[in-house]
Amino acid sequence: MTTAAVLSAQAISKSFGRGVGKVHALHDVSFSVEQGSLTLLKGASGSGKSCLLAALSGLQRPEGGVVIAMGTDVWGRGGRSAERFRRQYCGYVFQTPGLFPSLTALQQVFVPLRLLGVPAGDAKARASQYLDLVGLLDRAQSKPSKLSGGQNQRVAIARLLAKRPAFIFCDEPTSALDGRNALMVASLLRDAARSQGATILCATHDERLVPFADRVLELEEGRLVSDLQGFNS
Amino acid sequence: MNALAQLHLSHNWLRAWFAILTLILAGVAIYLQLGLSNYFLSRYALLERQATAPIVVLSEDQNIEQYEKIPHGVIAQVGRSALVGDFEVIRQKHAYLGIGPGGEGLRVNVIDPIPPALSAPQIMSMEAKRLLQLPNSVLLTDEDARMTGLGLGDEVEREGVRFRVVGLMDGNLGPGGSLISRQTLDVLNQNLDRKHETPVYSILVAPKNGKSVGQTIAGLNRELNSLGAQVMSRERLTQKVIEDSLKRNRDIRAFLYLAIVVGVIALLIISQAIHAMMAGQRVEFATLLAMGVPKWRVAILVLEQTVWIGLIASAFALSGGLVGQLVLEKADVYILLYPAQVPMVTGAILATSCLAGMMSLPTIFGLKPVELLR
Repeated sequence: MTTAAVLSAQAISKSFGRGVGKVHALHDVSFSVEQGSLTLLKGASGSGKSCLLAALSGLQRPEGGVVIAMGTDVWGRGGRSAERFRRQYCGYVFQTPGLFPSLTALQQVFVPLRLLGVPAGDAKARASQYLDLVGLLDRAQSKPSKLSGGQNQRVAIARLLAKRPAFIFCDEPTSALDGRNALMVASLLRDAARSQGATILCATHDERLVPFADRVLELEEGRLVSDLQGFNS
Repeated sequence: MNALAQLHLSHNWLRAWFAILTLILAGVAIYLQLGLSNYFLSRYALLERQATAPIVVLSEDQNIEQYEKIPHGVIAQVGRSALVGDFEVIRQKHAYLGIGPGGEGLRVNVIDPIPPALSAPQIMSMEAKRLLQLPNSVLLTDEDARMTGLGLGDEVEREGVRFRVVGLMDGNLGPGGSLISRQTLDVLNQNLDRKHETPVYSILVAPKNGKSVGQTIAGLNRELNSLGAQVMSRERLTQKVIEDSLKRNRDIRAFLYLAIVVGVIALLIISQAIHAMMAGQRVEFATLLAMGVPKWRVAILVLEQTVWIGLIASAFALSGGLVGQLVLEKADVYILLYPAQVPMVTGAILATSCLAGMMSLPTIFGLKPVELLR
């Protein structure tokens, strides 16, 4: 199923602060991931998972190193190329779903698609399709206050999948969820990798996700310390 | 994306209503200020300010409160002046033509439609001037038609003289009312037992060929100042009316300050309210940005909300202004808002609201999606 490397980090480094207070968050981290794979970035708090995710996903420029996605340098032309990369290819799942309190589940998926320029008819069809995919079509008219935390996270996943991104970046997507919902979210992400060919990178310390991963990278103090592959091959 | 803006607004209704209420107060103040100014402007020298003649001669004692007569020497000098091409002496600007079938009296303005037609409004059509030259003819405004019950072809009578409605016109096109010609007025006056000559209140002047308006005004002022008259352009007269009304009328001044103060307060409150709404939805907007939604589209979402706030406030402000108008009329303070000015009031409220929205835009542009990462 997995094919060529579509995302590669080459000697990524990042630090915060200056002088004696300077903290090195990432030290020359290099690795590649293949299309349609689900890769976990594991590590303790402060190990640099989120920082690495930000650099790879075009959210925060690394100090050193290069990020190549689909053959293009993500940070090659500064913020603009990263913004274009995010707009064209990326979807995100954060620990907080980031849903608008005033919108129904259907609108949560529909409105961003419209803002991204998808025609109304297509956006509506896609919104229904992906809500159905996450098992929430019957709650399409519910607002976030009427849905559980797990359901809201599934709406957020429907929103990102509806964009049909080539890359999905997740930051602790299950840490606030109970066992059942965490498994459901993990299953949805793995299915997205399988059926849509999306390349997924997921920063987490949630052990429940390991069985769903194709590969687990472990970070410690900003360094890649282990690379376990072949979980689901 | 109107739907999101509306829904977002409805979700934050408490903050939004606070902003809307403040804007309504600002709108009512603007309405009343504009209405008061209009009322004064409509009472003073409207004929001269709308006339075709570019230059007006007035008594040097002329002020906004009362009409001052022009000395005879001034009239004679204007007639002799080498700077003057044509001139028209304005004696009687209004006439009463009797009661219409609706039971209301018809009061009309008097102009001279015969070329050079200096007292005719600049925007008056040739056709209207031609109709007004018919003996005993009246051009009736829509408002006078409603009030008096007169229509096209109807007649009204005073002192045995019958006046016939030969045309209907928009009230905003004339000097604030229906029109007859100076020749028709003469017919009426011949039938009235007038014991005294009507004084001259103003002289309308067109420069002689080859002379500019500025040259003529300067020259005439030199010739007429010592005789007790002042000469100015139509535009300067309008400016003077506004200045005088602000200087002399405390109501207008008070409402002007009130409109400015409330407008500024509304601007600050709304920008705070929108800023608070933004802060409350920081995560959601940052998520949209992370997904690749351009910042300008998110900014438009915010501005759309401010447009809705402005529109809702405008509707209430206009209603509130109308109520204020009725209340003030009971205290003998009159407000006059022309229909064409309603969009101006709405525009002022919308502009305030949008400006407040724009003040909150730096928050949007400062959002960093990376902050969403743990």
